[in-house]
Amino acid sequence: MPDSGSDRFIREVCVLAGRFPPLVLVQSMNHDREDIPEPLRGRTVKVGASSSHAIALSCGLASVGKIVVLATDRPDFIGQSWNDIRHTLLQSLQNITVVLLPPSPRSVGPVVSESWSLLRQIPVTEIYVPADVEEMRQALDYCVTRHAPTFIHAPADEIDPAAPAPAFGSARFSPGVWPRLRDGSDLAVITAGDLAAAALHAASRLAAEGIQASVVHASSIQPVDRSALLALVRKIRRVITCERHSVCGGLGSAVAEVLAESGSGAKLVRLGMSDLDPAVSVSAKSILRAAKALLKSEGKRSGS
Amino acid sequence: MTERSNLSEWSAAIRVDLLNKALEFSRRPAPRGGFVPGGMGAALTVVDALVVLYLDILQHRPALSAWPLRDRVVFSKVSAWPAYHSLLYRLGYLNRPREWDEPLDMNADPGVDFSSTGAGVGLSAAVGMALGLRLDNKKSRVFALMESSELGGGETWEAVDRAGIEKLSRLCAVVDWPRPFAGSGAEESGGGAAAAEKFRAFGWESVVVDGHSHEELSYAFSKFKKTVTGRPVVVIAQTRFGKGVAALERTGTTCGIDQLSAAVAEMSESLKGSIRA
Repeated sequence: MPDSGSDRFIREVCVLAGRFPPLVLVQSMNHDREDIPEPLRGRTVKVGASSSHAIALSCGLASVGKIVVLATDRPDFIGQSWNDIRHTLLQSLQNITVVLLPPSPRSVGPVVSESWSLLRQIPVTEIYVPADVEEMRQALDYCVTRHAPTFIHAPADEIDPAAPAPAFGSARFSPGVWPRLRDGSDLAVITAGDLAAAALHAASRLAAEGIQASVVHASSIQPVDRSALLALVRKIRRVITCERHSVCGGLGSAVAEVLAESGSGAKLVRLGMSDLDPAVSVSAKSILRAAKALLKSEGKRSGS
Repeated sequence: MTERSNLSEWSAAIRVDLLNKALEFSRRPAPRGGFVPGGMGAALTVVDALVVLYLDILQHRPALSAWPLRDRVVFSKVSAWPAYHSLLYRLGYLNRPREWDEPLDMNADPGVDFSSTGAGVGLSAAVGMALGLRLDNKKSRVFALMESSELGGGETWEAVDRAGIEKLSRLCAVVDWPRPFAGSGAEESGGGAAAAEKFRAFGWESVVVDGHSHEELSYAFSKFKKTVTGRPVVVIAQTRFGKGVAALERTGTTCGIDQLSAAVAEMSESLKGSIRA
């Protein structure tokens, strides 16, 4: 059975625990992990499914010198504990990394995520969305030495196996930098997190029809890589954003704000989740469909 | 152990500080003043518990505020911050007195182990501190000063439960429990004794004391320090809201600027010659 996101995450945190003796794992999970190996086992606190308690408790741990990694698989964690995040975590500015893991397949809960829209309210918040496990490992490495609260949205368990792996080259995770994974001049697809693979897959399919798409991996929702974004839209006037998040307040909104304020005039289509149709998810197919619709709406045909 | 007369002097001096600051605040032009500040009554009630803790019980060093072996205090009763300012200033932690509405910041102000503007988070943070200190095998104790209204919040009981499960025997919660007055909600919850019983159900030791008796407070805290029962401890400190200002003690609400001025004059007069600078 393939490793789940939670398995991979635990492994990475164990490695970090070996390097950083003050590191403590706080679990606020629907389904607690019981198989945590040493040295992390003796440094794990389970707070069960409660969420607001987890934030303040983590702040208490950090105040006595601990480096806290707070892991949750609850999709509604940020919303439920927003008051504590706003008034306690983001005011105390301690070394706490909140990792939002993919929900357990056994979970039944809300589908549409609005976490980023809340976290973006506070400009100092850093929100990272790694595309894969390796990038998550590097992001964790960065965040635990950050001495400030940071948030990591871990990649989903099931990344499309038919999709090509994102090509990061030698430079992978760099905080606040959005790498361009593929060049193309007809349109740009900007994806958050693990949707990079789906976007590359869609871009290959478009290329077969004569449409050249750039693909940019938004490795952070905040900070936005403004310079990369503005450089992109200087030459490309059609942009699609993709996220496993509500269309309101997440990546699409962050990009829209930059584009609107810069007066770029680029046409933007936001793909994401919506309460209007929570079953719809973003995939290579939906990206392909949106790209063709966008080009058609502007009268551009394949190869022209 | 500090002399009882010293504790009384300190309590009175801090109360005079509070009343003077409140008067200063009320004399500021609106909107940042012009009225007797809310929270004044709450600040006055908690003074005795603070004084006994800091002068009699805590292991701490104002000259070395980051001493790693110090006991920790989480001041969760956010409405009473001015009492905390005043005490920390008089002890020498803060290098200047603070205005009524000036917050303390754990990242900037020495002697402040935790700060938050959120209500009802203090005990959770104290549990985290106690867990962290235990992981490092440190003997430091953690005190959380709370107000009774926090016991109406779910997060507080999550923290109570966690502390009981983890058997955090170096954790002491001090709950300021003012005598009921209309609208406080305290009378509906069955009073301090009922609250003590609830804590026991979660695996805590509990004791109810007169929150203005330095002797009872000191005895309860000392007993907590000496005894390691394997359980966290709660001290329910029954108090009189607005202690020191007759109008507040009587009604449990605010008072006018004239009544405040009169209270300042009366209290200052009674301490003439013995107030510490």
